[in-house]
Amino acid sequence: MTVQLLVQMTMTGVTLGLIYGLIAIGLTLIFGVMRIIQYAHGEIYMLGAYILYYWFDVLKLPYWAGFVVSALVIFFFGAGLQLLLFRPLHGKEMLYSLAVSLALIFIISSAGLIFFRPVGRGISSFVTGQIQIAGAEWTYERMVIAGISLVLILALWFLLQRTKIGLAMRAVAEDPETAGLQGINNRRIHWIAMGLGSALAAMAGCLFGTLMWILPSMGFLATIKAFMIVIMGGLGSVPGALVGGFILGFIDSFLTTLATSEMAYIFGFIVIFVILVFKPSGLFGQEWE
Amino acid sequence: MNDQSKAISRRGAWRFVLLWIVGIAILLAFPFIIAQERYVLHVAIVVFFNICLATSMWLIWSLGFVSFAHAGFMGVGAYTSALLLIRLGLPLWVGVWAGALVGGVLALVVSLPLMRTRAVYFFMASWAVGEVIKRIFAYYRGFFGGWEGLFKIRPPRLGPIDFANRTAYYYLALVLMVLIVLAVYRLNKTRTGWIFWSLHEAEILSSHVGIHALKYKAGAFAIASTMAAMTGALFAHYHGYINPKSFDIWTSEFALVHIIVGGLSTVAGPVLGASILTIIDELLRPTEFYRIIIFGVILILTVLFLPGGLESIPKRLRLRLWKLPEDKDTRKSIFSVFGKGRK
Amino acid sequence: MALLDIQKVSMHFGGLKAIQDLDFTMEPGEIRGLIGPNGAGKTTLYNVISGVYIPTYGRFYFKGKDITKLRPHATAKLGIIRTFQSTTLFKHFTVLRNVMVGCHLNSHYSFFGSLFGTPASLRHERENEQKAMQILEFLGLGKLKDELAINLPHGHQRALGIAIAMAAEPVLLMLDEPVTGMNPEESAIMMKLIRKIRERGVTILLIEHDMKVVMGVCEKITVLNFGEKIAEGTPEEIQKNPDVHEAYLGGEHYVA
Repeated sequence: MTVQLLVQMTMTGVTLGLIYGLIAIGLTLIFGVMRIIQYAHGEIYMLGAYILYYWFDVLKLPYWAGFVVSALVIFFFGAGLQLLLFRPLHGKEMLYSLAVSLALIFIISSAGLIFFRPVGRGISSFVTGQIQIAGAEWTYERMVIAGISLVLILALWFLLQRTKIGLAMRAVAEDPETAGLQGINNRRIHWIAMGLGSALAAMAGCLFGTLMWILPSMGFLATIKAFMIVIMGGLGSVPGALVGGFILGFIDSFLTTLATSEMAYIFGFIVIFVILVFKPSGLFGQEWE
Repeated sequence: MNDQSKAISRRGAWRFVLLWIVGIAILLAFPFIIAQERYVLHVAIVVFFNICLATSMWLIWSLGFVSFAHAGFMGVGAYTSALLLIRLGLPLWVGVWAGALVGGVLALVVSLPLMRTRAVYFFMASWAVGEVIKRIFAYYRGFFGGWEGLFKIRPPRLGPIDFANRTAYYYLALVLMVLIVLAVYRLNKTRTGWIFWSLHEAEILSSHVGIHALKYKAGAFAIASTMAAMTGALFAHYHGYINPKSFDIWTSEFALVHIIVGGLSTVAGPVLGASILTIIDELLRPTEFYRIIIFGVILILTVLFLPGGLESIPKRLRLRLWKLPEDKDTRKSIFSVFGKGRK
Repeated sequence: MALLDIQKVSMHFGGLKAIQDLDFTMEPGEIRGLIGPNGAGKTTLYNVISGVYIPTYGRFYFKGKDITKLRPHATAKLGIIRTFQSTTLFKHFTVLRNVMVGCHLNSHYSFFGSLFGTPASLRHERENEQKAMQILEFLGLGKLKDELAINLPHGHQRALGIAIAMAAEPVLLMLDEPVTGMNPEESAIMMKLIRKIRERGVTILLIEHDMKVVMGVCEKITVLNFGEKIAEGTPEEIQKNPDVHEAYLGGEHYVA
């Protein structure tokens, strides 16, 4: 194995890790704040990617404007889903939120197949060119994507740790009753968290779609990976989602290059299984029940 | 119990038995009622298979879990029976029991680590199990036929009866369905059922009164998975062809939809849900993807507006129309033939 | 021989020392109080004894048998039964059914018998029901047998929790704050009940904050603070103990 290959795989691992981290953080945020299973998270990710595709590749409007538009549209879409569908189920068994999000998968993925057609596409690059570092090719696009992902994650960290809203979200995630008693409007926090988590998924979808490809069925695999990461990292833990994202990103990058994507898939499972054996609540998880 | 209530319960008991007898009679006469119309028989057989899957999945639900590995175990039964026929020439009569055995043992083995996970993790973990099973079928092309699957899974004969005849297979599927529904009904209605539901309601309290949670969870999971495996065996010999895609998460998810729409309290739920939704699915078949959208809409409407499922409709009607007081522990409706409601 | 013998048991959760080096014994037939400020480790001790947690250090014995590593269903089988602070009930079952589940250990149950509805199994179910009714009557809950547990007022829910525990035929009954939320009349009834249960030969351990009840019904009291035993003795001794006063911030909780 050459240094060049190693650097290439690491670069891809980091980029994938950051993108995976984005979607996983979105999911863990939704679970942490609302204790619902958003099984359709991957479908949201898919929608985000397609919005950017239609904005940039079809309507030929500026890329980054489209990125923001996609995030905003999905933010409100997610918030709307929370208010309409998940809010009435608050406090009931988890099966009901699973059922509703399962229904959403049916609806969104089928609608996607009908309207977008099962044709593989890609979001065109917004910048071309590359440079050579350590003998490996680093495309500008890849670097910008990695950079943007990092910025988003840092922005999210800032939001959660240093702003009132972030504090409110963490309070609701930890102890909803007390948070309510402290004057936090739980209902508002719920739709904000759902909107935010969905927007993160949408942005991850945009970036992945630019880096790789888009398909109406991309949501399915994204959901699996997101749940794998979140469980690995600990349900409700943002650092856990990030670390888990990196672990899976590296596994995917290395094993898809060196072996097959099947192997990467299976190995991912093995790693999660091993982690859960030693830490049943995930790497950073706590006993929440 | 005073004499009046004894008389009422005797009448009630007769009502139960009568309803079951009438139901079974209709099912037995059905092929001849429809003049053995092949397509309708096909739909009926698919309905029976789906009832088997939904009812066995409901058994697992009675302990509080949703198993996304369910379709995987169906596949285990299907492949076991198919391979026994293709490689060793053994008919379905052997295959269905072999499939049950393999499925049951595998389920027991898998359940031990699986049952230690908690609710949220369980559905993911069970999904992983189902996924691994499916991928094993897809991976070993030489043995399992890979993604292309296995062909020429011929139905068996029994003396003069050739089960390639659809009417004959109808009765075969009917027998399996009745056995499974009856078994789950009995399990649910008796002490075992109360143990399952007590684990569902409050596992901590159940363990503290001496109920060995792991034993019952593993047991229920194994029984339900065995039922799925047996259904898989019959499925394989009916369609004559199987591939890994028939046993993936979509199949488990559809079974879950059947239970939720049908109702989660009694055995009537999965039976109703599977019957009605399978028929709707068949009717909507020409619309392709739109029908999946409709399923999603039905599911959402059910969860939001009819959380008790279809089986709760008679009760709701009675409350609305006749303002009859609700019986607290027992749902005295036509569906009470299926036993006491729990929630 | 001591009924329950806890030797140098510690329960650590990461850095938190919930119980530290505890020695604790109980003799058969006694009514023992276990008191201490919130967070002292009392409920944690119950969780260790019943088997929800396995202690980090130390061992404990029941009737001479090492039960340190036994899980709740196993300790329940040996006769160690507890109640819970929060309403831990089978909420959607009827009161009668709640107690019948509690009877599980002590009624015959055969999987195939119940599956096929054999006469023997039907007989066992009837016996189960009768046993459960007896316990409900004993606790004054007989008339409520068909109510859903979730619909009961708080006091009755507490009583139901005790009924379920009694149905499991305890040798050692560990009560966790049984009179919380009760008025003085109800507390007095509970005290009488505790004595009645002891008369049936059950050893009782009682966590409680209501000092009137503790001093009134317990023969010996153990005091915990920050996971350690700080005092043990008769109610009179405990009332005079300065360490105990300090732990409770000035002894405001005492009734002279």
